[in-house]
Amino acid sequence: MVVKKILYADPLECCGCRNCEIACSVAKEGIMNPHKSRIRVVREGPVIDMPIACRQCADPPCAKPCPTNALVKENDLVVLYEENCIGCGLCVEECPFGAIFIHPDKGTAIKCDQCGECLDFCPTGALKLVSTEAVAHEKRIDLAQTRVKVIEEWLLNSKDMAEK
Amino acid sequence: MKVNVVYLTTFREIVGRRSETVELPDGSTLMDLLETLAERSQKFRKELFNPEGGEIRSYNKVALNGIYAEYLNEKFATKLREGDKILIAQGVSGG
Amino acid sequence: MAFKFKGYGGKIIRVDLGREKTVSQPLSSDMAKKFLGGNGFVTKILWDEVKPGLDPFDPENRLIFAIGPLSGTGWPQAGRFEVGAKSPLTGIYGDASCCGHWASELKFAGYDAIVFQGRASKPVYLWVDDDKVELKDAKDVWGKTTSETEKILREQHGKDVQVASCGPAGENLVRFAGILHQRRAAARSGIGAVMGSKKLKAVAVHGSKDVALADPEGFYKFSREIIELYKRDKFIESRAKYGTPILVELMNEIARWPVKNFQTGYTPHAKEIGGERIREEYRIKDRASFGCWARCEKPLMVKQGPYRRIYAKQPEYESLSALGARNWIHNLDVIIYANELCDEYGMDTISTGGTISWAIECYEKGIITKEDTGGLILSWGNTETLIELINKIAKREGFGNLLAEGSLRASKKIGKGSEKYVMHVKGMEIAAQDGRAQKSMGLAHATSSRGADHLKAFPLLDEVVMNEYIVARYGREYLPEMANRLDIKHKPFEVKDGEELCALCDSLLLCKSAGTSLPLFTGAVYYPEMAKAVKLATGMNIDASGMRTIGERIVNLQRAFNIREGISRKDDTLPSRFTEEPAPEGPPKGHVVELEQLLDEYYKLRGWDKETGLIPRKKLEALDLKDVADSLEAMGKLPR
Repeated sequence: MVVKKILYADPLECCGCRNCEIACSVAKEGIMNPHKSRIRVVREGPVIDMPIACRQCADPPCAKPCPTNALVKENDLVVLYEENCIGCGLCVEECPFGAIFIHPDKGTAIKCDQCGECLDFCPTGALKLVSTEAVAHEKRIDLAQTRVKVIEEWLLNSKDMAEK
Repeated sequence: MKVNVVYLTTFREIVGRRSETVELPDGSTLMDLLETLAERSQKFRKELFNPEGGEIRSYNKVALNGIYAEYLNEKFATKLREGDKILIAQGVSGG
Repeated sequence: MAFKFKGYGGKIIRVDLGREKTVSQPLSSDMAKKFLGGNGFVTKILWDEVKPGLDPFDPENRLIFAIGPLSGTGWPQAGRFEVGAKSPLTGIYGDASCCGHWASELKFAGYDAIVFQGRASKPVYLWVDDDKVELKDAKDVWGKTTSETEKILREQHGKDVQVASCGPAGENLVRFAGILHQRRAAARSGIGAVMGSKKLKAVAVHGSKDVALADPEGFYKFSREIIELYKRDKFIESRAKYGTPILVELMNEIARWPVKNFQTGYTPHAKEIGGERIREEYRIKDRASFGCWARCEKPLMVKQGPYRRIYAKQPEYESLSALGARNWIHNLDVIIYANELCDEYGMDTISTGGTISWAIECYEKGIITKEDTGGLILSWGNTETLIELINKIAKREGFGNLLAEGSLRASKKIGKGSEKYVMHVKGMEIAAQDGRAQKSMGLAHATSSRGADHLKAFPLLDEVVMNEYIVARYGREYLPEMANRLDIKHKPFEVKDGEELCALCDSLLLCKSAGTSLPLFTGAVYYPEMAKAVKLATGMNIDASGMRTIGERIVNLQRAFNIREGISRKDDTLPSRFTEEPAPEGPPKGHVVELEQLLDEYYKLRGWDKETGLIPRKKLEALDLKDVADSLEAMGKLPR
């Protein structure tokens, strides 16, 4: 069975500090350069901060156009064979999330391999490496809780009506 | 006797209100008050006191009528009087 | 000569706006070693290049953006940048700093500072994209608010571009205009007006270079140790939970909370605008600057009423005071909106609110009348007038044109004893600390190099009795007096030491609220830790005492700059409200600031002349500032 995991953060919990970018760049490159990080934080408007990294797609669109088979789906990860990469950038074009990048010095692709180094550097705990099943489970509970509120309110109101 | 307690910072969240009047036996001390409050909630106790020994964590601040306990002659053994105002807060600072 | 240390970008950009010329030149290794970065660079460049007596709006004034060796490295809480100029508000040394993502971006582009001189013939902005540095026509953004400006320039140059800009207030030369970046403000000293006077609208930066370090492995190992402290720390936890507004009710309880232009230090209404309420009823989430663990910025939602909408940030403690309690306004929705207006126009909330509360008190006392205000009725708690005055100040319309000069200049024009109610030092409106309730803050306001300000000394150890840190930093013999905010004993020492620590923080661009001035509960980020971080980052061999000396050097050079502009002991003063009128209520009831006694000891500790507040040659030479001593001597500005 494939237990697919994704690097996941609620944009309302992410504070946009970019400590994950720092941790990634330092872990992979030994220095800080945001253009060498495999995770990138996007900040838009007054409330959205979103870390974006490879989602390890089951049927990865980035791998399809790769002329040298540098990107291969293995178990639950999209693995990048750097020695095969020629730096054509077709994968960058194809990734729907902008989650694969070109290394500014080497000119070849870089992407998240889910090493988990960044997780320990998230001050809010927003960033999680979780199974898609866990994410879905959380969503289902959220939905149920919203319903609870609505129904409780409805029940209370109808009780009030009865009393009147 | 009755005293007024004001909760600031995280203590307000724990207690769920800004202030309250607390009834104590005459002759109670500041520490007696804190113990009475801590009896009501484990969370409050954990936040206020050091786990070992019954001392207040150094980053928490308790003031009696605007004077921090450290500056009262009897410190936490100071006897309370009717109508005293006690402040319980995390000692945040910086402005 | 090539720059020889790591950690830095190693280059500075020089921009002559009048000649429309930009050059990139190597950073001086000597300057880096003696002044580190940030406000150290600002101070040195202002001393070297701004002639005494120069009008701050003269094209020859300098506007300097500077970062430090830790910027962009990922060192925690090092996300700030510093901007400095001769201040149009005070006429002396001026600077302000701001957090966000601009500082790190400038480092990624490979620079440590940008120095502007001259005045552009038409509005321009600077576009820095790694090695490409260009002045661009600002016609699309001139007149726009700060968030509009950022939006337009990000659309033009890319969404990962970081922008710092002045708003309409800066363009209109409001003397307390600031510079904004992502809703954070380098607010004080009127540096935004200097930017406007140069017809410079914005600095947009994009960078993609490595931050090369002397010992990257050692540096990141050490930085991780410090991060572990931040993770466990109670102060960081509180900052993260509430941000600075958590101080409102606490400071009100010790009657240090300015109310009605400092008439008193306590109000029963503080709970209506405090951090506890904001968190419970308004906060949406946390936001943070680059590499920050304290994430004190809180986007908010006003859920109903005329101000209903989402706001990018909560008003800080200072703004809740200046726009709120100081004007007897306790309607949080209005304060949030007023704060937003100040950010959009690009104005310092402290000086804006301070100036308005001065005007209200003068109106209350009959000194300012309807004739002066153009028909506006000023009164405490009048929310509509507050909003109208903010709009008028930013646009310099009617009565707002007078207030845009700052409270001291405005009072000189009004006369009639209105000067007595100006709550300022050296022309700068006082921040939200009533010195009568905390003596160290009173002294700090009087001696701060940029005029009334708490952040130059940031004496916090006596604010809420921090005995442990006093023992750890100075020794047991300083207790119990140093921790007692109403006792003047040891306060000059606390302020002097704080000024050096803060100068160092501002040169390394560290956040003072998180770990340095405000010590961590779980550990320390103090001189030895700063020395170690700088050594690992740059390869410079400066020990803890060397770091302290750099702090002292910066403080003394800022003082020398001010002395050259005519400042002496007579200017290190406080409004008579603090030195003559006893605090009316609460724990400090009956107290004044015993300023003269405090100053005597402060000058002695500083090694400055007690009578004049001038710096003796001996002191300057000990700090490797012989050339400064020589030029002060030539002006007759050394003590006899």
